[in-house]
Amino acid sequence: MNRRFSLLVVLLLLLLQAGFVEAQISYKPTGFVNDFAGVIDPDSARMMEQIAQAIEEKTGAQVAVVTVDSIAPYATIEDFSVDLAQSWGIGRKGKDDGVLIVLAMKERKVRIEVGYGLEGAIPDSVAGRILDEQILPALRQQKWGTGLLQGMIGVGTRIAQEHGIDPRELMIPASQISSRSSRTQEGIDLGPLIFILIFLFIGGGRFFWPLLFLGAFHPRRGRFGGGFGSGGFGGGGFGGGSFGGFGGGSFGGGGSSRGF
Amino acid sequence: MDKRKTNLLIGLAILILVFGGYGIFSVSVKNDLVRLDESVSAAWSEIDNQLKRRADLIPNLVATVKGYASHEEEVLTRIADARSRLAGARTVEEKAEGYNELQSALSRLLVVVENYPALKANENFTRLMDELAGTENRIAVARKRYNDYVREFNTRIRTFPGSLFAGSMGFSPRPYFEIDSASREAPQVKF
Repeated sequence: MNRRFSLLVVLLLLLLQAGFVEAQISYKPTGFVNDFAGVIDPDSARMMEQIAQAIEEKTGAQVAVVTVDSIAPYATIEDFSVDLAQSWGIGRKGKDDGVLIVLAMKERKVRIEVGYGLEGAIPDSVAGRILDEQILPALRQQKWGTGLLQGMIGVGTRIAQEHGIDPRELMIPASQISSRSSRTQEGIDLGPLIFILIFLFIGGGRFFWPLLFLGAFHPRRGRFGGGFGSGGFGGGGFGGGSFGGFGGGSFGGGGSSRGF
Repeated sequence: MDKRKTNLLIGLAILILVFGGYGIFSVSVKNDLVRLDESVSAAWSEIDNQLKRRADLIPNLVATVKGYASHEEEVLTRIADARSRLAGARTVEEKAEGYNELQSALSRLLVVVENYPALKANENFTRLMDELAGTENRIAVARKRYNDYVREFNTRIRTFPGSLFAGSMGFSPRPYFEIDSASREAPQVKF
């Protein structure tokens, strides 16, 4: 009886960890490029990740891209973007050098959200120009990945100029990128670790080893911990590499939007 | 030691503990109130800066529009007037009113501009409209944050234990920034 009960508890906790019980909308960052709507082609996605990494390494600024099917339940893309950017904390804390590009498919809106620290490099009118000249033309041809990539290049160029760096340094060839994967570190994900402790309590050690192999140790993108995401069990990142998160930058609503 | 002396010492110790405890307690509560008050003020500065920035964009906008739509006197005058009103506003309520007036004057302008495609295509105009939209968005964000702080502050000074000290510290409820734009509530989305 006791054994079956503890088995049930294990299963339940595993399910919770995996997020099956989550009913509400949940957006968690998976990297610089977050294609929740599934519209970005792999080549563009890869290039954007590379460029974003280069931007971060050379300037410290963090540029993220998000696509969503719909911004619902938010009413405007402005509200959605600033809340998302602020919540994820894109950009470095204190420096607030984050930029978020959002593409909302259903509402047909695109926005460049600029953090406090970059409002000098990318004022609203410049954000508008990047949208008009670099992003919109591709979007009108339904080339979502290309448009966003052009947008990131536009943003990256302005940031590089602000730091006195030649923007071309951001466009590194792919061959050099693979060697940079040493950035990911081995780290301990706290979520599964807590479960292990619980199981030790319940099962008397019998479940320890299988769980250890399941995913307590896996590569993370730079940051320690952060396994809880927002609230409770949802953010454990069970199995597979997970993104360490952004730097805690702040946003004030700067940027520009367009419909397409 | 005789019993009286012990009792006296105990009594003294209790008094010290009570007063000391109250001292620590009151300092902590007072500090919280001060911190909140400062947060409200800082959040207000953010709104104020954006209001000023918005007003500063207006003359350029008026000049650009005049170049294409010189006959639209009424709209342009309304905007200029609204801008002056906003510049002269001092209190939170006055600034909110000034903002609302400017808003309605600007939305009139947007309607009028539809009749002048050349103006809409003008690069300077596009830039100005982006900047104006930017200040509008920033005011909306700043307003939500300001009002959140005000709510927290007002609640704290009216409930225990803040209410004990609010009066002596000169703290009274601060005004919300009430403008006409739709209230920006954060829906239930987990980021």
